[in-house]
Amino acid sequence: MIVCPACSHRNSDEAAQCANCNASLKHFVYRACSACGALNAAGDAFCHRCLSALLPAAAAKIAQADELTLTPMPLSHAEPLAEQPSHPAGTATEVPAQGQVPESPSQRAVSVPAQSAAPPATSAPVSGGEKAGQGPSEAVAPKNVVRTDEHELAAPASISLAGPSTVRAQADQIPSVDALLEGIAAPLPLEPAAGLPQRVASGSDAAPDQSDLYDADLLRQIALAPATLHEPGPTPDVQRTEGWFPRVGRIVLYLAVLLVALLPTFSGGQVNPLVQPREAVSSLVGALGALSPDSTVLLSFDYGPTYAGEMNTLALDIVRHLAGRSVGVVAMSTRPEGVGLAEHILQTVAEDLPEYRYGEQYVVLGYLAGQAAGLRSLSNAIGDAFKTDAVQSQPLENLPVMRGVPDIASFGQIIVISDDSQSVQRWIEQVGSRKQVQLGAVVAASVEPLLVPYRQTGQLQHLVAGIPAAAEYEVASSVRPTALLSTDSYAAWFLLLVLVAVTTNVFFLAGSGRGRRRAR
Amino acid sequence: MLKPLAGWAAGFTPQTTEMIGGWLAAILTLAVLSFVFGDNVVFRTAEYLFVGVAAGYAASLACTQVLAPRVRLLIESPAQYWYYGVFFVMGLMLLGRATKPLAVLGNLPLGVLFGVGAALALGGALTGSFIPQMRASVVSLVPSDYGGGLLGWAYVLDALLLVIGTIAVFSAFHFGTQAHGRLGGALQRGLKALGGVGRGLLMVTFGALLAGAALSFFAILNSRIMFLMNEWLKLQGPTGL
Repeated sequence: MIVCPACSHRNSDEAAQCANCNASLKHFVYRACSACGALNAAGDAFCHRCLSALLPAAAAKIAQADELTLTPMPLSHAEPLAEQPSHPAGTATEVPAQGQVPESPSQRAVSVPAQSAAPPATSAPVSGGEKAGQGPSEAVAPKNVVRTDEHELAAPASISLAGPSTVRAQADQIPSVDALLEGIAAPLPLEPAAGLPQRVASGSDAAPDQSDLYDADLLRQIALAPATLHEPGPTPDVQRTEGWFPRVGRIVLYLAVLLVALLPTFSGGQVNPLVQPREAVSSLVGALGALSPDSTVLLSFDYGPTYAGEMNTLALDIVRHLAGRSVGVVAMSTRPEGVGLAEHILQTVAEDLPEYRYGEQYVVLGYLAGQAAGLRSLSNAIGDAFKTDAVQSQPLENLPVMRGVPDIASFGQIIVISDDSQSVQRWIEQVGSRKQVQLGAVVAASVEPLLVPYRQTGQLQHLVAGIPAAAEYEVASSVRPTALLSTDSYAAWFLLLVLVAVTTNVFFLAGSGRGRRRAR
Repeated sequence: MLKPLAGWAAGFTPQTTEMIGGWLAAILTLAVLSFVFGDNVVFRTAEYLFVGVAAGYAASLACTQVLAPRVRLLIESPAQYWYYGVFFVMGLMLLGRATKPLAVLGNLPLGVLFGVGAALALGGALTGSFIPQMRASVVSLVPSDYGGGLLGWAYVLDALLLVIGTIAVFSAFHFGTQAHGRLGGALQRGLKALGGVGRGLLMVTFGALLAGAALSFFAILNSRIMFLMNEWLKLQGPTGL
């Protein structure tokens, strides 16, 4: 049965069009076996599964073959084969040789098709019904193969052995393999039958039509597209060309900020008379001013080089204030980079004041590792946290400035100079909550709001933040002005911020209003 | 190769080293400021240099100021400072985390680190932050407690703002299923309104934080520009920083 290539409907062997979908069966690929239903290639003459004849012509020729005689291979000691009389057409007599058990009908039925010719699948393909009708070449039975009816096999002949001369004579009578295969166009294919159903007849003469070309091109595109192993990510935004206004606006903003930063060079401190210390700054100045000359203050430089531009000014003012009052300074840091900054600040002050000597007026203890654990050990005993100082590596008891401070509560003030609110929180939690100490914080402007609750509860006695506080400190303590030189730029910066905020909000509101009107 | 180099560097006078340091600082400052024109190789070089130098400095400081003194004490007085040996061994065990076969050795020191850190953080947070802040949130709304008069009422208003603001911010983070019934619906609507007020207060807080950050960033920029103007180009006298 011919299998329709379009809808897989099984049609009769003579059909030229599919009975189901009217598609042309001219280029059919598969033929279904009538006996077992297995799919076979279009060019096959026999079913690969049950070996039934697929082509009607082949089946007819087999049925009509009347000269098929089978000559079983004689045994070595068997009697020579006797001449077999030819039988009339229609019957095929199989005469078992002496010494051989005659074959059963099923064996005979199996052996006959094995000797008939069937076109191999690797030979020139048989496609369509044209060549299929031809089927395999005419089955030519080898000589001496006699087919007998079933009843003739009821009484098998007796078995007798043949001598060597007889065997030689028999061997001479046995036709050669080439002779046996003479006339057979092609034997059965050698490949396993299991491979046959999947084989498609190749080398079709039919040219691809438009739909075939389209399908082929689509398959090529799919096959060549790179496979994605992950979920496709967000599609990248199409690069939009920026208008001139954002670009120009950005450049104008950069230049404005640069001009604001350079303003003190030209303005000459116009805002200085307006600087008035706030209560927080005044309280710190007052607390440090109330310390006696034999007091010692602990300064923790808990900031890094990133915020040094802001914190150095505040730290310098405090150290200068303490140095001017001959108050001892013990410097340390809970961050590695803070040690170098502390040394730099103290050396800067020492260069201005010759009597400000290391070990006598100030000392750098170094880096305290462990964060909360280090602060806890410091609150227990200074000797637990530091054995020697960081600059001269001397034991602490050898340093005059450390003699008056046996423990952390002996310090007149503890001031944490930090750019991070968590560092100050650790000091409050590990030191301030356990010991009766006067704890103050000098921080960057960005973290001041996070520490105001601690100031309000009294856990921090002082809280000072930012460069404006440094300017106020210089006014309140009369130390050498550093931040006061830049107050003009900060005032201009505030004005620029307000101007930018108002301008951008106006543009935003105008733009959103226009959008709403357009939507209506 | 290093000896001649060290000898050559030792010949530098303090003024020479200061000049070299100043020029290096100026070049790196300009390299970082080049980000104004977009990401570029010069900026990235300065960025990587900063990260590398900071890490190297921290590592050298940890070795010279933390490890070396304690190892010296352990060697000089092992009976007195035996516990340094225990911690030193635990530190070495922690290095086993770098390789898969020895990673299991790092479990004990990691456990000690996490346990001690958690205990200190929890204890400190409770006694240092949570309880004092909770206590400070309980405020009086009676004007006479603040001295009476207009000032007393001002303090009462301040206290009210504190209490309502705290509750409103907490309400902003409340999420629940749809309430049923009139009372439930009314409560949910009230909570939703209070949450809106809390979100507004949060925006004000973030705005204050942003303003502080902007001030800090400008202070840093200003200090760098002043350095370039005064210390590098010597347009004005040094600021002492």
